[in-house]
Amino acid sequence: MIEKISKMDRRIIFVLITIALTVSLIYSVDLPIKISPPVKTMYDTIENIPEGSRILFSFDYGPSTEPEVGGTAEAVLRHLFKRNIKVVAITLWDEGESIGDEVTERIAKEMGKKEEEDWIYLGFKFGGPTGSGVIEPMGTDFHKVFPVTRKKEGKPSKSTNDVPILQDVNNYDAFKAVISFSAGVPGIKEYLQMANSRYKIPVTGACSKVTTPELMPLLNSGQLSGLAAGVIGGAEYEKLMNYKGKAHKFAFAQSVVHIIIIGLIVLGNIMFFLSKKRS
Amino acid sequence: MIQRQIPIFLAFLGGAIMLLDYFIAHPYLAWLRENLTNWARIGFTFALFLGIINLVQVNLKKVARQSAGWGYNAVLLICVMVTMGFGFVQGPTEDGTIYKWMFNNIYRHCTATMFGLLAFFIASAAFRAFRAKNVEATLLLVTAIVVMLGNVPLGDIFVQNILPSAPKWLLPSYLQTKIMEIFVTAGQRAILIAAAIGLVAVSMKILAGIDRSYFGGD
Repeated sequence: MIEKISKMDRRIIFVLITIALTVSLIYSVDLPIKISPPVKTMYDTIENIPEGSRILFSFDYGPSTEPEVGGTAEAVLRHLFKRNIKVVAITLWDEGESIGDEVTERIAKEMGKKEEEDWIYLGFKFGGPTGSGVIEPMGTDFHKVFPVTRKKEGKPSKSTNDVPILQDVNNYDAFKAVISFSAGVPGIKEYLQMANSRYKIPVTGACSKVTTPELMPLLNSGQLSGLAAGVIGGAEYEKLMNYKGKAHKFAFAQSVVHIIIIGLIVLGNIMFFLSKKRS
Repeated sequence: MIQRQIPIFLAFLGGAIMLLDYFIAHPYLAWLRENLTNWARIGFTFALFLGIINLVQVNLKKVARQSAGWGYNAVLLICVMVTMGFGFVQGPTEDGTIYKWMFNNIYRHCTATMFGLLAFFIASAAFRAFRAKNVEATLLLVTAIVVMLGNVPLGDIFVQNILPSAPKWLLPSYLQTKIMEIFVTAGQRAILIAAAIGLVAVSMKILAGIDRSYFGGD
């Protein structure tokens, strides 16, 4: 019996996880979300940005990490538009190009914001493996990095000098903060290294849970003005915004799977000790 | 001799310009930095192009020899050619194109699926491999369980159901926060500082021409 369980076919585990995920995503339960200090700091950073100011919004994630970071990106966009803060959105990840386009357009439409006046999405710009080819030059001449707007169906690209929201943008001085949603490199760390350390612009954002440990020293030292990590960070931000979105739904599913994995670890160890005792 | 000296000098010049530009705000340095960055971008693109040529060569050989699983190699080649073809003809960022359609409806979902598969393999690996075989493994296991429980709201509910009067310091969320703030931060700080010092040392060696690994190991 012990050996049978220890050598359980992994397809049984796959089926168990599939059922748990499917049921928890369909029948989502509201969990009590506690607001953590890093998320509160991020929220307060955005709350303290004066109305009518401009921020740089960077979609530095791809489809693989969209479930983790996407919910937070939507919640923060809603917060910015609610506070009438102008959003200049870009992406340093080629995979994030269409994600950024779809998310900004959808949320802006929902919040009744006008393109080129209240927001603009400039698309993807290749900055090398660390984004230095974009992050660094934006500090000296923004229009040189983004000379034209993104071409869209039925809308040809035009000079960024002719876009109302970008008219007096020369460098990072035109922005009150950089908000980066990152799942790796380039991302928050690169903005901190190049934009924050050199040009002193506040940086905040969200990241996948796996990249949180490497950002902890930067958060604790105060270089990073708040951080929403993973799906739970997104759920916390949604709670601060008083609405329940993607992150809340995924938080329950993640919780269920975590409990199952812990259960499997405990079961595996019980079987290990029992078989050890027998032999 | 001169064949080696010129690349070493160019490497030094490029590095020096980038370094000086960080500390000295001068328009000529900014112009040089900008152009060097553009050249690097072009270099990366050529490297990408070489990678694609290599990919096609390797897979074409397997298809020609009809090696085991050559069907997958053929599918890969077809996908590369079709995607590149549409990308070159229609442009990679144009809306309403077949390339964009393929990216949004095939690539995005495939990438998300590949990442999603990790959850299943982690669960299976956790059951089979996470064993408390010695003190260190037990410590790692207990910490992993505490962090996993603390990362989700269900963790605190789970503990509070077992121990209704559990003090705050016993809750997984509190323990997880302390582990991240104290142990993880300390460890990451050490890694960051060591990595930064190492990077400075290697960079200085490259700038000074001592490290010539970019020659290809000579």
